[in-house]
Amino acid sequence: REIVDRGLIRSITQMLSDLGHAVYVEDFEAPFLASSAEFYKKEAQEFIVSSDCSQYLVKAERRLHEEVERVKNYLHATTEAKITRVVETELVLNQMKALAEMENSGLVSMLMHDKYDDLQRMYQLFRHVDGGSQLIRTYMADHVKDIGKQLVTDPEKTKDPVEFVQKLLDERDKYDRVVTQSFADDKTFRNTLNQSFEFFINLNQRSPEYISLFIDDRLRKGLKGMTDTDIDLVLDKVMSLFRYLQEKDLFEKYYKQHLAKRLLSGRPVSDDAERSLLIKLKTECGYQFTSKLESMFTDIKTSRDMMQEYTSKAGEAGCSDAAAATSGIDLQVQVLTTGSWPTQSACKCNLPRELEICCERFRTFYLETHSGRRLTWQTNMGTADLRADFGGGNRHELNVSTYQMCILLLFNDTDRLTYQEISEATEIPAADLKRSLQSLALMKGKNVLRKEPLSKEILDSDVFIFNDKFQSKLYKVKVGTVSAQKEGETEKQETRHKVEEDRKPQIEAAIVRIMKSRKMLDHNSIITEVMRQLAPRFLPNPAVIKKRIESLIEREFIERDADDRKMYRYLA
Amino acid sequence: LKSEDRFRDIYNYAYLFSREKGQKCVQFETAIGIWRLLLEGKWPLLDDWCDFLSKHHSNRAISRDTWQQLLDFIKSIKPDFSNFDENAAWPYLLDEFVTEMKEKQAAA
Repeated sequence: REIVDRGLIRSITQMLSDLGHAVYVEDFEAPFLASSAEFYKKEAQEFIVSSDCSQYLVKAERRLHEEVERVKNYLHATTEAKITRVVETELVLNQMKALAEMENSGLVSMLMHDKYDDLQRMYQLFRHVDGGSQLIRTYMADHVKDIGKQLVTDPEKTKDPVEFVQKLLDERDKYDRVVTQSFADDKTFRNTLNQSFEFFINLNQRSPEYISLFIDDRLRKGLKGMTDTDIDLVLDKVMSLFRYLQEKDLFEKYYKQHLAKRLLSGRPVSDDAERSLLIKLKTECGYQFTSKLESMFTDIKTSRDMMQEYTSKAGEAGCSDAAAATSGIDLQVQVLTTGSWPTQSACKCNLPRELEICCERFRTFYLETHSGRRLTWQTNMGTADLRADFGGGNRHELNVSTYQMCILLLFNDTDRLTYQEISEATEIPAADLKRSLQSLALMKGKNVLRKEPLSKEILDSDVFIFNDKFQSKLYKVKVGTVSAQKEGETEKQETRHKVEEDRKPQIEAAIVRIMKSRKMLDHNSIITEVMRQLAPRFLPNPAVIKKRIESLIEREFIERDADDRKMYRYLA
Repeated sequence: LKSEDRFRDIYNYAYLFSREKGQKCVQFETAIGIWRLLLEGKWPLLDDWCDFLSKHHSNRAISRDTWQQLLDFIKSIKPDFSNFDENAAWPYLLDEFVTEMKEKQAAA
């Protein structure tokens, strides 16, 4: 092994420099750089076949250090940048694609196995060469999009909404950590990650619904024992997923539905967490997004205050109404402002007589102080707690939906009823009636009714019998299905249809706004501008925008220019 | 050039003329009738157009804009639709017509 005489070389290079920097460069540096390049070119090829990616990177890093040391020890300082560039070119730039693509040890493998150190080394080496940083970003983006696409299109993984969203959060945490630990929190990497997530999350059209269901699940059950900071952290992470959604208006629709169910369930609501999330949504999307949601909270609070007033008033007045006095019905009413709550088709059903009287009394009370208003009972949204006596002195408290209450109270007068009789007596809409009866007669542990025949489907010819032999370990039995569920296919189509309909006026308003300010604009510019303006809520389809333009032409809001058919003009 | 302008004037007037009293748009049946009257022999795709409408748009009215734009379409678009841009400002009925025609031509 040769030993380098550093002192001697230092003197020589110093001497050359003294003769003039050009002498140093021409007589020493240039040949030095050229032969170094040769050397490293060969070494790169040797390394690449003998080492895996991680080992190669360590070697490359070491070589760079060695050269820097060499310059410090016996070369002119100006050589450092040049020799560094040579090493980087031969060992990194010319091999980086091969390195990243190395099977079982390349970039993808490192990402999958959380090899933070290796990734950091790769980042620090690659970023100094042309296109190096970009290469890592591209491969990372492709990989994340691949993994993500598999996740969101796998029917197994997308069966359970809450699990699905949890997986999304886990993936995001994983890659977030990589960007922080290995890529020095590089903003361009963060952006690339965000773009990749945005890409695949929107491949699954149910993402908005599922994210809302996840939130619903957490707010309903999962926050016990968590500190405020922990809760905030979870909500912030969910918000980051929300930001990726292109159909935020679809999310809003589901969020409203789920919130309504939470607020009306009669279960305790994590008020602080709900409000905290609302504020985050408002910060992200503006006042319009959350104003109706806030109104829902206000309605609940107002109703609570009003019920106190009502019960105290009833107390002091003393009940002269005999039926009400003996009914012992504890009525809780929530008055919902139409327009703020999710729209439900008007559904009436026949309430039991005792309840009718109770409800009418409340209506009178309410209209005394709000004479101009109209109240409509939303029988599809309520709940009831019933005390039921079964055979053998068995008593249970049943928590049911309003519909189910109407059905069950019919059995106070008889033990057997046909489907037709129940339908006629209650006038509950068929689909809801069947669903309610399913929960009452076909669920294990909750079958307070028996069905003949014992088939899975509810048919018009079925007969229902009070199940005297009903047993349950719990005193309080929850039968109602009022908490938020993943939508079935038909409901999903309906919701999508509603959202598409809601979008039309928003698109038209945007077109009119744009035309009013520009007076005259060409077709493609309108499309681009409309998409830009509405992007925070949803991505309008250019074909849909075109149809709205045509509709506006017909309604004489705008017209085509007589000479240029691609231009439109605003009609005042 | 003059006769072309004349024709356009007549064509556009025909729309207004065939509207029923109080209606803003021309009914489907009437539109087909007037089109056949004015465009017979002038446009090789007239039958295809009428077929297309009968299949997909029957019993619906024809907007004035669609009526007027059809003439531009006839004059400027090649029979193989190679110069038709579906992202341009054509009424969506024409977009759908071209899509169907392209499918027909591909199948043939």
